[in-house]
Amino acid sequence: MKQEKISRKVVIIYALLTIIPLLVSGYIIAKYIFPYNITTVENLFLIFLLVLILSIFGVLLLMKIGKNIEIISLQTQKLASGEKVESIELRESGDEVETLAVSLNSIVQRIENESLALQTVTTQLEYASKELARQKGYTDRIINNMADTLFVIDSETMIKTVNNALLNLLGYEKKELLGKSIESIISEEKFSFFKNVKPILENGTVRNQDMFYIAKDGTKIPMSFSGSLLLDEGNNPTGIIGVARDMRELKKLLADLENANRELDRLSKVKSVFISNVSHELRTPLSIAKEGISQVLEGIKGEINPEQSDFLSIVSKNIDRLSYLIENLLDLSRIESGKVKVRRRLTDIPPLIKDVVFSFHERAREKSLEIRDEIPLDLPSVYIDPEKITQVLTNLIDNSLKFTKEGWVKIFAHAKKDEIEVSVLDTGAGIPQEYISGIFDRFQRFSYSHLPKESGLGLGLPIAKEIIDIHKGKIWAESLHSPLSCGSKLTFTIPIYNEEGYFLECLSDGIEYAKDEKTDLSLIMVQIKNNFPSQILIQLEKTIEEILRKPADSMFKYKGAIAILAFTDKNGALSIGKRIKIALETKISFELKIATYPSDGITVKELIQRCEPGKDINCR
Amino acid sequence: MNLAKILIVDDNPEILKMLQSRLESEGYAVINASDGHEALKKISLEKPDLVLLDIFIPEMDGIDILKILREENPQLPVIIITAFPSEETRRIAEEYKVFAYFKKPFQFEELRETIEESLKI
Repeated sequence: MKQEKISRKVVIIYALLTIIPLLVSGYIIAKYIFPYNITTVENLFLIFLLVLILSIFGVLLLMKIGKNIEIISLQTQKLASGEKVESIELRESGDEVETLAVSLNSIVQRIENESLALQTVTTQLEYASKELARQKGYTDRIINNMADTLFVIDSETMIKTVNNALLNLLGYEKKELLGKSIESIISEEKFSFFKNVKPILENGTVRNQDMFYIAKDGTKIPMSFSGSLLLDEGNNPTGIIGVARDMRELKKLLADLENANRELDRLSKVKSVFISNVSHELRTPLSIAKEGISQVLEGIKGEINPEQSDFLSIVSKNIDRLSYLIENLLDLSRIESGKVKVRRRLTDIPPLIKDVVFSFHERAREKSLEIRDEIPLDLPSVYIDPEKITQVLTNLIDNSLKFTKEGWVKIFAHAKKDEIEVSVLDTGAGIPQEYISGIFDRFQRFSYSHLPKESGLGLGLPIAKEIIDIHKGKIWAESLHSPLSCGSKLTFTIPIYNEEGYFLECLSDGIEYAKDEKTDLSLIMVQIKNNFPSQILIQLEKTIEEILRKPADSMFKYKGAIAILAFTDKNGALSIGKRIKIALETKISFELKIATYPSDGITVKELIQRCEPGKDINCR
Repeated sequence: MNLAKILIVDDNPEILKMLQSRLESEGYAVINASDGHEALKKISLEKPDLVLLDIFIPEMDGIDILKILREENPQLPVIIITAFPSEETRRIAEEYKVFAYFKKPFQFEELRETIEESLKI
C-alpha cells in the first residue's frame, strides 16, 4: 500500500514539476512572443488553458506510467513473496517501462519453469520418501510379527533392537531394554554371551544353542538360540543379530515323552516281576502235588490198583508239563527283567552237545526218530555259561523232536573264524515262511492247526534267543525244502575268545556284578620276574587256587602274568597277596600289583592300566 | 535201616509232611521245624546229621539260620531248598559251605542222592 502511495506522490510531484515550468514558459511566450493586441487577462487565460491542457496530458501520461509501474511493482512484490505471478499485461507504452515489464515477464517465465521443475523433483522426492517409509514399515512389521524373539546388539553387547515377540515373552517395555546389556535378559547359568557366543560368532554363525532368557518377573525360559554377525557396508562386524525360539512346548513334550518311556519301562518291569512272582507262587503247590502223587504212585502210602496208578500217572505227567511251562515263563521273565546273571566259564562245546543229545535219546526212541550229533572234537573252547547254552540246545532239539514225525534230528557244529556255529536240523514239517522272522518273538501267534498236539506255548525259542543275545551270538531259523532235505534248520553262534579276551570279558562281567551287588572287586596281577621253568607256573597256579576262598574268585593268564579276580576290597586283596608271598617267597621272585573297583577305577581299562604287566606303576 | 537224623526246616506244613513221609520211607529219622528259633533249638538239642533248609521262613530267614548254625557247627551238612532261588542267596550259601542248593520243585531222586552223599562225609 505504501508503495502505491509513493507512486502517486511521484505522479503529483511530477505533475507539479511539469506544470510550473509550463506556466513560466507560457508566461514568457505570452509576453514576449505575442506582444500584440491581446490583453493581459486574455493572454493569461490562454496561457493557463494551454498549460492546463498540457498538464492534464502530462498527468495522464504520468498516471499511465505510474499505473504500469504499480502493476510491475505489485507483481515484483508477489514474486518476492513467492506468490504465483501472472504474466504482466501492460498498456502498450513502448518505453523502458515496457522493456522492464518484458524482462520481468521473462524472469517470471523462467521462474515458472524452474518452479515447475522443482515441483516435479519435489513430487519424486515425496514419493521416494513414502516408499522408504513403506519399506521400513514392512521390515518393522516382519520383525515385530515374527513368532521367534529377535534382538540386535552392538559390539559392546548393548541391545539395539528387540521385537515384540521378545518383549511379550519377557514382559518388558521396549524402552526398558534398549541400551541395556543383553546379559541382563540371558541367564549366565548355562550360556554366557562372552564365553560362548562371541568367539563362535567370530567364525560366522551359531545355531540352536540352548540358553535361558530371564523374564522381567525372574522366570527362566528355555530357548534355542541362533545368531549371526551384523556387518556394516564395509563388511566389518558391528554387532550380533540373535534369534531365539521358545522351547518350553518342546521341552514339555520331551519331558512328557521321557516320562511316558519311564512309565513304559516301569510297567514292563512290573509285568516281569509279576510274572516272576506268579511263577514262584505256582512252584510250591506244584512241588507238593507232584511229591504227594509220586509217593502214592510208589506205594509208600499203601497198595493201589493198576487203574488208580494209570490215572495218577497221567496227573503226574501233566504236573510235569505245567512245571516245564512255568519254568519257561519264569526264565523268560527273569532274562527280560535282567535278573539272570550268566556265569560264564571256558567250556568245551563237544561234551556239552553230546550230553544234551544223550538226554534226548529216550524220547527220540519213543517216537522212532533218529537223533545224532556230527561234531568235530577239536572245536576251540568258548567262554559261555554252560547251563544256559545247554538250555538253548535243549530247547532247539525239543522243538525239532516235537515237530518231526519221522526221520531224524541231527546236530552239527563247526568252528568259523571267530565263532562256533551250532545247527539243529530235522526232517519235520519245516517252518512256514511267514513265521520264520517272528519265530523267536514270544508274542508271535502261530496257527497251531498243523502242529502236533503235544506242542506247548513255545517259549523255548524266545528264551534261546535271549540267552544267545547275552552271549553276543546270533540265532536264526531256516526252512529246508530241497530234494535232498526237508524240515527246519535252527542255528546259533557263540563267539570264540582267546585267553586275553576271556580274561577281559570276565573282568567286565565282574565289574558289572560288583556294581549290582555294591561290592568291591580287586584285580591282582602276579608277575614272575625272572625266567622260570614251567612247573613253577603250575605250582604258582595251584598255590593261588588254594588261597582263593570264594567260589566267585577266579584266576586267569594275562600277558604272561597271572591275573586274579577277587570280590574283596583292597585290604582283602593285600591279604591274598600276602598269602601268595608267604607261600612262594622263598622259591620265586615276583611282582604284585593290585587295582580295586571302584576306588582305583570303574572300567576294565582303568583297572587294567593300573596293573598292566611290565609297567612300573605300583597299584598300591 | 539208615539211622541218620535229618532236620527239615520249612514253614509249609504240607511240604514238611511230604518230605517227612518220603524220607521216613527211605529209612531216615526225621524231625522238623517251621521257624528259625525252633530250628536252632532242635539243632542244638537233637543234633541232626543233616539240615534241609528253606530260605523264606518266619522269624529268621534260612540264610540267618545258616550263619548262626555255622558258628557252632562248621561241619554240619546243610542243603538249601527254596522256591525263590537267587544269585545272592546262592553266593552266600556257597560262602557258608552249603552242601547243595535245590530249587523247588526238585526231583526227589536227585535230592535222595544228594542226601546220601552229604551223609557220607
